[in-house]
Amino acid sequence: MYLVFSLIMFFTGGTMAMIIRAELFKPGLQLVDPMFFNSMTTMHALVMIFGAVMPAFVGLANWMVPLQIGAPDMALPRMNNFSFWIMPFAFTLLLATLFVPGGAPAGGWTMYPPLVLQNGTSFPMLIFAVHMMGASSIMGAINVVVTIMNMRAPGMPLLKMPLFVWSWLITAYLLIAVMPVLAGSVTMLLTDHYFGTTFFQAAGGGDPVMFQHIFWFFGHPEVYIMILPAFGVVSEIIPTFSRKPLFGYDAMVYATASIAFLSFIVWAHHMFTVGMPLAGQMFFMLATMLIAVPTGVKVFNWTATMFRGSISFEPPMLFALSFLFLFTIGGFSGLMLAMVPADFQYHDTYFVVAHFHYVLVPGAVFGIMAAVYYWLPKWTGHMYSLKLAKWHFWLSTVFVNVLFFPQHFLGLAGMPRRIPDYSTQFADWNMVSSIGGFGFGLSQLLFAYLVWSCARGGAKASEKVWDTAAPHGLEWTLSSPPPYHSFEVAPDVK
Amino acid sequence: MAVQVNETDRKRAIRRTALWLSLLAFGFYAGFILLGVLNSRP
Repeated sequence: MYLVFSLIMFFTGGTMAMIIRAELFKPGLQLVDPMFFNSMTTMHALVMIFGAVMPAFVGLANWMVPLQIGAPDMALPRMNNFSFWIMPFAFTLLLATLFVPGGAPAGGWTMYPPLVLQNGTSFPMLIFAVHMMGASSIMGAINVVVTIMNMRAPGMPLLKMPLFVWSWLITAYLLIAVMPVLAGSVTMLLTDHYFGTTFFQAAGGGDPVMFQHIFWFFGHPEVYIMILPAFGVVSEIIPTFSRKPLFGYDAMVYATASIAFLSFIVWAHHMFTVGMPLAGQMFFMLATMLIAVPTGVKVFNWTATMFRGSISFEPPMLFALSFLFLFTIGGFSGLMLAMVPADFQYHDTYFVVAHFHYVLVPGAVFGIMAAVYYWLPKWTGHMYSLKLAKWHFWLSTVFVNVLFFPQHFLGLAGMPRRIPDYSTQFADWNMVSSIGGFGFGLSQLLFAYLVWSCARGGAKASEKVWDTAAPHGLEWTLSSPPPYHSFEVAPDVK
Repeated sequence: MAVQVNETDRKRAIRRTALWLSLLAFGFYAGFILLGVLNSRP
């Protein structure tokens, strides 16, 4: 259900992205008015982050964590149910803002005051929707931690868990720590607007920059909430199709934990230009650069796993490899942005847009696609068309680069983000980027078709699914599809 | 080989973990609002 909801939201947010890219296809205002354009950028981000990527990973956790730790199901099924069913209401409320007087929120997904307080009727709807999404994520995360800590099969200590489980355990702790911070910040926005408080209003003794600090204390770990489970997925897939055990399992666990810890102490790199003391700039710059160390460990270990492996290129492996290359590009542009003097030039330009889309699309979204292609036959009991899936991979990989790589050039040339019109000097690369956007969007219809057709029928999948490769872990010991309650009797893990 | 798990102990542990994590989440929520209160000057 989480995954189906996520797919619907992926196409909803994708439609918004198509509107953005259509408007930016050439200079001048052609399709939508600027206010609606701003609403589209805001809503696209909110829908993709909270509606598509996060629920997709929660869905993967719901399927795979019990299977991988030898548990019959998640520990708290009622809380799970509640956590899911909040989301359709939250997103109906959020999307309904498109039809209220004043239009949908248009001040950016970051909801910075005082701009956000100028929203019309949509403001309380936005705040309530964010609260509901937060509650849903917190409940989902509590369920994951409780399941992993209490439902593991006997004989499975923490340092024997599959890396997908490890990455989710760490992600769940991040969620429990930072989603309440987001909820707290939007609660303060609400009281500022309706109850006369002045948390973020300078006229009343408050501080608008304080909101930015609180928001990014949530916002930066949020990036890792979206990427760590993808790291876990890739750490499962690469050993399988390299036919080798993962290189440096312990180092991978400690690197994931280090990334999670560091994500709490780098938030102000998003706001270097607000005018912070030099010592603050230095601290946040160096702490941000430090994240490259554990991330480098992970990239090195994935590469070392493949080294001298007997590699085959099934769709999950192709997506994992694409993740490895393209996420690294996003990581490098992140390092460029971490440098204070450089950031002063790049800030709020398309370079930032290119950076975080490289992290989130070929990073998080390709991680989800790799996971779906890896485990879909296990879930449905049917094999999908490998040929069509490879077509989907190549179309996605080519178009994602056509879409986002030119945005680096646009940003370096000075094109600001969140604008519906631009100077003619930016016309060529915007047109290329838009063509990439339409191509990427259309290729995803192939993904939806593959998932749908695999759920309906197809060649029977075996227990191990990837018989010619080397899948490892408890999930492959069960039938495809697994029974409703996966491990009624706890397996004995050696 | 199958292994027996004590269901009563497990249920108690599940409840305890869920409660602690809920408190932790509430602590972050209330703590950051308190931070906002302490930061604003009338």
